[in-house]
Amino acid sequence: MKRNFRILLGLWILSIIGISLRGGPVTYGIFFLLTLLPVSSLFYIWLVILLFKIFQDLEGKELTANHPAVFRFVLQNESFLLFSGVRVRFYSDFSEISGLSDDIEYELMPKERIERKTDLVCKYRGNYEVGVRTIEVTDFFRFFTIAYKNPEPLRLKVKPDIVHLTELKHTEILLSAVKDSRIHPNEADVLMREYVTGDDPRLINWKASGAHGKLMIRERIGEQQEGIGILMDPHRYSDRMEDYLPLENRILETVIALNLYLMEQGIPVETVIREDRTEYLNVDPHIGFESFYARMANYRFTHASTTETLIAEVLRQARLFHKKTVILVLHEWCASADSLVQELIRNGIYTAVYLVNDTASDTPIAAHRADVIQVSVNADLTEVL
Amino acid sequence: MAAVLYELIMTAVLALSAMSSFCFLSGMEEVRTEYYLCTALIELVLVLARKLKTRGRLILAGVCISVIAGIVLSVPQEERIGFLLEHRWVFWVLAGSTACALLEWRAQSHRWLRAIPAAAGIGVLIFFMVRGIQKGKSAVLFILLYLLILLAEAVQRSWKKEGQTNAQAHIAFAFPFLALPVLVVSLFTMPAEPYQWKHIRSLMENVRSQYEVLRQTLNLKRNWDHSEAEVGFTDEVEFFGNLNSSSYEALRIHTIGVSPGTGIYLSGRSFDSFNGRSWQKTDTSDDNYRMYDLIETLSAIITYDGDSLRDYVRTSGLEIDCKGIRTEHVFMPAKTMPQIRNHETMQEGGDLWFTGRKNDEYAIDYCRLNRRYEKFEDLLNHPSIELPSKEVIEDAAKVLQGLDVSEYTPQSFTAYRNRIRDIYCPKTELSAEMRSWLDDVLEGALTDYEKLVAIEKVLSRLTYTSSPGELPETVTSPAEFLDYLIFESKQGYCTHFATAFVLLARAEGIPARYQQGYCFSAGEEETKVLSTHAHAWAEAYIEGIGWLDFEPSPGFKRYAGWKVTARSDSTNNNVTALVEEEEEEEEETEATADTAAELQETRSSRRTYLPLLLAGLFLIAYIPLDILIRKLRYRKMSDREKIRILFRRCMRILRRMGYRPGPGETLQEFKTRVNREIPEVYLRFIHVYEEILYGERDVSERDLTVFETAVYDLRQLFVQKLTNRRNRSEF
Repeated sequence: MKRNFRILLGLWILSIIGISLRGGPVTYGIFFLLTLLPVSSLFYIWLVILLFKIFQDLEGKELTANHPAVFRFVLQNESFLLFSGVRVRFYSDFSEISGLSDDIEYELMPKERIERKTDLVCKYRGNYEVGVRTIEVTDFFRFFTIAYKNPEPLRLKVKPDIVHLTELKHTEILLSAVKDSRIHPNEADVLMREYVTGDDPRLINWKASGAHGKLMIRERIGEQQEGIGILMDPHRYSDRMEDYLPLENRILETVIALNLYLMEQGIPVETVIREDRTEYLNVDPHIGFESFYARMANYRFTHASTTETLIAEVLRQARLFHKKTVILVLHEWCASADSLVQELIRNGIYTAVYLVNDTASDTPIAAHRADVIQVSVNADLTEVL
Repeated sequence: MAAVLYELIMTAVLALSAMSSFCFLSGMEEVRTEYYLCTALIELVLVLARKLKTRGRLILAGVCISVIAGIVLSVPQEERIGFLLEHRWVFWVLAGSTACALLEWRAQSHRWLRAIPAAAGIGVLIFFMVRGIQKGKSAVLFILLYLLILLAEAVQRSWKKEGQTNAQAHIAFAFPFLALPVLVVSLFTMPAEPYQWKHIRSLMENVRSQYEVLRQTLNLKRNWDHSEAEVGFTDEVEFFGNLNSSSYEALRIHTIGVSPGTGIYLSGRSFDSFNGRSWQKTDTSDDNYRMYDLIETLSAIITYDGDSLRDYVRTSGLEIDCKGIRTEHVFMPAKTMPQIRNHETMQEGGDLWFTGRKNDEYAIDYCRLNRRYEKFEDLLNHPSIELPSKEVIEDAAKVLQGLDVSEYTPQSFTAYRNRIRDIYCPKTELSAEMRSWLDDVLEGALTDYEKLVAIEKVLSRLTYTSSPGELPETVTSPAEFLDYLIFESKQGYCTHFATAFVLLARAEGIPARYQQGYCFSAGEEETKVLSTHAHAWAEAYIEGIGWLDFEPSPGFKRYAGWKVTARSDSTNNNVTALVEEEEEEEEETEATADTAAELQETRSSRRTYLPLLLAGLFLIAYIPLDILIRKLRYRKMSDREKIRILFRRCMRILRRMGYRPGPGETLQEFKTRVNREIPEVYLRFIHVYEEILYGERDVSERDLTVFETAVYDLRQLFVQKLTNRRNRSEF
């Protein structure tokens, strides 16, 4: 209870004692006034809530995590009422607004507006609300503060951050993958065939097509069976946004960073993901990174998709077994992952596991000669990967 | 604007508080509305005079003088002095308002000065409260409003906020919400008595009654320790040393045909046998004693003075609701008609019981006796002991709403009277001392009724107390009880006195019994009978009359009755003439009043229109004069001064169009900003002004032309914008 209201309550009780002991305009006047003051204050707050307008705007509708965007918000009083105390609280779990504190209270005279322009940074990828969360209105005697939710919050789709790695800390990944698997773009393609409807147009070899007079497509021999495979944990581990958003964001960023780095090193990468079904996404200099990034930005982690399901599918299809190196990006270790790692190692495939987790775990895979790298949810990826 | 409003609010509220407080402190019953209006108007003028510039002040002063002159001139010359003397309060109000305004203006820079009027206001409130001044409602409310404004300002100053946090503007715009509760409070009545909390008390009583019902239902016994007991009706009679009062509502009675204030005795249970320490009921006969008693009493009256029956007896009704007690007893006055509508009852020794139902509402009809009527007293002193005849009994039945009286015969009356003697007049031994004392008391009393009245009187002279102390162990018989009460203790509560009465009456051979129930005064329509109204009294039987109740307890009301007067039939012939004369006088007075009212109306319309006319004339005369004076002054100015004046005019026009220089904005920045919406040609003057101001060059004719053209063009632009806006709004 606010201090001023406590004082009012105390005086009101005293006034009740006053009218019980003595009549007259003084005692009754004070009693009635003290009874009506909170009513008047509440009525005032109700009017302010009705008349108060707030505008907020972001440059661009799609943001990227960790990249600032210009955020503008306007508090407007279009009425003839005075707004004595208005406080604006922002969403802060997943985004940060620089230069604006939640503790500031504003006073707006009639027809006055207050405009602020600042930066908004979204911490995680996802679909969530940013900007003004609640508005608190206080009356002029500071008896009551009533908070109400912003009826029109700013809902954003935030894409995952692209972390540019300059080097990979765990060079074994590279070493095992680079040998015999780098595409040598200057070497002639080994095999050419005619273009068939349905082939990826990016594989068309124009030089050869000009020479042959028809569209020719390069067939990659051995490329699909070389390079690095990345398996991404598809599971949503919690129902609370505060828990799953940071984690999923980190998993995605890790996978994207690895893909980008390896692509830049000329190493083909195939990423296995699962939403409703298992998908294999390829990234190489020819195919490009944008479509992969777009797909990853739209990716949805679900409760139904589990690591076990994905690994079972992978084992059945066995595409990863054609890779030189396999990277698992997981949140939690499980028995299926253990089986997969054992199988991979038995087949001579170098395996690295990135465990996106804040708690150090003692995984049994250490015994299977796979490298385990712990990636904290809030760590700087350039330091860890 | 906000600053003006703030000042007006503060000075006006302070002045109104001071004025109304002064009026009430000086003994005025009511402050006239014109005092308030005058105060508010004076404050408005003072604030405007402070805020306006010279020209505005001149206009204001001119209008005020015109209005005052108009008011004075509207009064005939010969009445002017009287008029001024009659309205000398205006000067007091002016002085007080000016003082308040000066104090408030100083207080704006020295805020501590506000403590003075605040403390004075609180002092006035305390004075009003202590002295019990009831009429000062408006003064109180204005003082409270002033304190409220100070409080709001203090809260605002201590509040850290961003935006426009100027306290003056804050108060100016928050004022409606500060004034609103005060305005609403002014509509409430403020009684002179403290609040009685009737609803809360009623609720508490209801809760208590329900608790008692519950307690009785669960048969939770009261404290049976003989040293203490609580006041209330019980089925037993014992003597306690100390009675505690804890009040709850026992019955709720709705009276029909009973005057407010009439004492009513509702008997619940009667007792016939006393052993010296407690009463018992041994009479368990189910004979309809009540009916016999009613018939006997009515027969006696009918036989004595049947034509004036209503002077002796009247029927009334009671609707009784047992709120806080749970009982099968039927509480009813003496002479109640024994049939109770919609309820089955049984009699036991003259007491009525509900069969099988408790705690219900019921209605009874009963006969009230006019004990104060001297003829009735005469009847009581000289009753006829003859048995009522069949005809008389039938006449009595008519009074009893046609009840069946066939079983009541002279023979059955004989048996009834014998039974009464047997049960209610056992041999009562007295000590020799008591016998001697009683003989002294009854000296000169010849009839039974006179003896009973004498006994009642002597007992009522003892002391009534709810803490008489326990009966000594040595009291074991009626004689010992009487000796203890009359000679030793000389105090007690109703049980003691009723017991003593019955014993003394029986000692004289008069049948008597102890009655227990409730005794209260009838209200307007409804009466709450509390537990503390439980009472004990005595009834004595006079042969030929029936049972009569007697009240021996000191301090209790005795006989109810009513005045019996003769009716008058004479009329006064002169009354008509008198009324006509009065009507003529009224017509004359009305005619005179009409003429006076017309005259008054003429004067007040002059008083309204003449000041307004003079003020209008002043303005009409002033404006062209002012323009002329300004033109003459302008002509005498140096070129540099002219440029300054013209520049200010241009900026004023721009301000009216909504273009104001921002805080810290240079003229060039201002020009660049305005140029986005207004063509450059209208803003050339700014550039020229800057050249003159900062370049310190001389002003040429060309410069003056630029400015004069700018003023003209901006005015045209302003008018054009206004016209455009109006046209748009029409669409």
